[in-house]
Amino acid sequence: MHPDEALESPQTTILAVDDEPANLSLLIRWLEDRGHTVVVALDGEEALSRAEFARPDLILLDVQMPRLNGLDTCRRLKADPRQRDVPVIFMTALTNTRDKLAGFDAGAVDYVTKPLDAAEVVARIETHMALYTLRRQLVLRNARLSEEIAVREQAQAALERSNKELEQLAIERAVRVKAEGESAGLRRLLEERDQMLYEREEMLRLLAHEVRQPLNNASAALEMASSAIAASGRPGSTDPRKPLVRAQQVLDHVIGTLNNALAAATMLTSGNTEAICDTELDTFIQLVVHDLTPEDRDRLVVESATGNRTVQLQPVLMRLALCNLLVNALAYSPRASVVRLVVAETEEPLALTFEVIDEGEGIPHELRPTLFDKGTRGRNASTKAGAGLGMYIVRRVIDLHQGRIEIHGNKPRGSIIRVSIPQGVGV
Amino acid sequence: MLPSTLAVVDDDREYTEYLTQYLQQHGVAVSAFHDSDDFLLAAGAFDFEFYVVDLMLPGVDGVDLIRLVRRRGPAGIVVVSGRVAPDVFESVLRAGADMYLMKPVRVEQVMLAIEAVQRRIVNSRSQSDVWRFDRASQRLIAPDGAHIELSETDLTLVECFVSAEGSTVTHATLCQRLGRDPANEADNLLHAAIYRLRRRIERATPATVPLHSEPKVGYTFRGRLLAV
Repeated sequence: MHPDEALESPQTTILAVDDEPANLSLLIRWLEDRGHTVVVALDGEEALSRAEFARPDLILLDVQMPRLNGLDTCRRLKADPRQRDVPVIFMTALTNTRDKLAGFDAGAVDYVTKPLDAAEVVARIETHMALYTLRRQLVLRNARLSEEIAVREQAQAALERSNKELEQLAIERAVRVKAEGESAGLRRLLEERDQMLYEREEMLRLLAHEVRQPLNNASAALEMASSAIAASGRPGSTDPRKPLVRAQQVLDHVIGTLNNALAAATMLTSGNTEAICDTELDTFIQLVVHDLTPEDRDRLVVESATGNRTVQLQPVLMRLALCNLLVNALAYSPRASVVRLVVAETEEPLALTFEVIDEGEGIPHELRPTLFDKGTRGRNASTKAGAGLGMYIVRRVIDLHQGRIEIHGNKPRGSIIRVSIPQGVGV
Repeated sequence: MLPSTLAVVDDDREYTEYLTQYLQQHGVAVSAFHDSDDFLLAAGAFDFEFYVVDLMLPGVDGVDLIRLVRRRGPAGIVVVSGRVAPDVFESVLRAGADMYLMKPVRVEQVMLAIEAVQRRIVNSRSQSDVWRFDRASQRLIAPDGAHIELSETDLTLVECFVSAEGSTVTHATLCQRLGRDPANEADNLLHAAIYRLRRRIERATPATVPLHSEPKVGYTFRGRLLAV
């Protein structure tokens, strides 16, 4: 390490204090010859004020001076933080040890004896100057070292911080990459799923369009054939219409099942269904009634207990739901019995009600809690085909209308299913 | 009540044949088209009194076809389609159809729909007469002379429709006039009030109530309504 430039300065200032000007002129000559700057003072008080302004690098101090003696001057200097580190060398004629010790006690680093000897004075002064310089260098280096250490520590801390931050960033990036990978995977899965759903819905739409109406047409053809045969009026032991009627019933059943499957798969699962709209009640009921086979229609009695002509419902879905209720009631009651559909209204809450009343065997209590679940079928269901979707769709459609459905026993036999659809609702 | 002339536009030949036969038996002159382009090119395509239209058609799409027919005049339009997408219903009605039936349907059901729409059209045609609001006796007088007593709420609603002169009154305006907070969507008072007003009128007169609900906007009284 290079010595501090300030310490190399040849401008070394020495304060010489003595009440004998002859001594002072000797010192000036010797020291200036050595390249030092000499500042002088004739007593202690003067020395103190000179020291303050000249900022000497070393002080030569006579012990015995008038006013403030050397020892006291030295103590005062050592009490001043600005002068404390400046080495003080006493000049004394005394040779006894006690005075020398008193000098050291007051804070001096050394002494020279009078009469002054040039070589001794110069040697001692320069030794202490060197010591002082070295000490100051040491202090400065220490300071610089601790500064460097502090800087290094700071740098180290900063480095550690940024390492930690980097580490954190790396973790975050890894997490993000992982999440992105996962979400990309999920997105792909979702897209695939959407595509599959879309394809499935397309299939169902195709089914709807390509299969249902032709089946319906076939049923109509059978119906016409059957009436034509009846009209031709051929007497015979067996009714030739029987197989035709049977075929027609089978077709109607297939159509009904398809309708329900389609509704369950598309309209009820897609989340957005048709809107509730103002619907002509009479036409709506007539449409529902004509969803039934002519045989079933003959067994149905519609009673209206409302003066309302316009009601609020989702016509396509409600048509399906009400038809399911009627088909069910007709299927689970004796062939000769009548099923009644009572249309009414309530004021509190404002609602339209449909009651489907049959005289069948009734709905067993154990079946009631699950009646409206997917796949629930009646006790004698083996005699009737069906996927058990009908009642499930009824419940879903009524839920969509925020309506209610209740099952009651009919007297003396059969059941009453009561559906209530809120009216006076915003659309 | 059936129209005298009717066009069926549907590519299901079997169904079209039954429907044509059935309607003709009931005295309707039916023309069947299996392709909407054929229909549009036919002479007098827009002169029919009534239209029964499928949605999935070769040629112009069913919804566009409805829009075209509707622009030419007030003929009845019934849509009979197997298309089951949930928004079909609304888009069809928006295009101008009077009723939507989902296939499968029996021919009787199509005729029921035709009759209902035709009845509505004929009614509203003969109902160019005026509905009158008698402030003094707090009554609404139907074009056929039937008197309908109005409740306090009804009076407020009718006053709104009188000053709207046939244009739509928004939900917000109606709510404010009824002293309700329009921001409170759970408040059903307005819709219930409209329902009761309609019911009151329907019970008093067989006339078609020209009170229309405009989804998410408001209500319109489409007839002439004068305060006396």
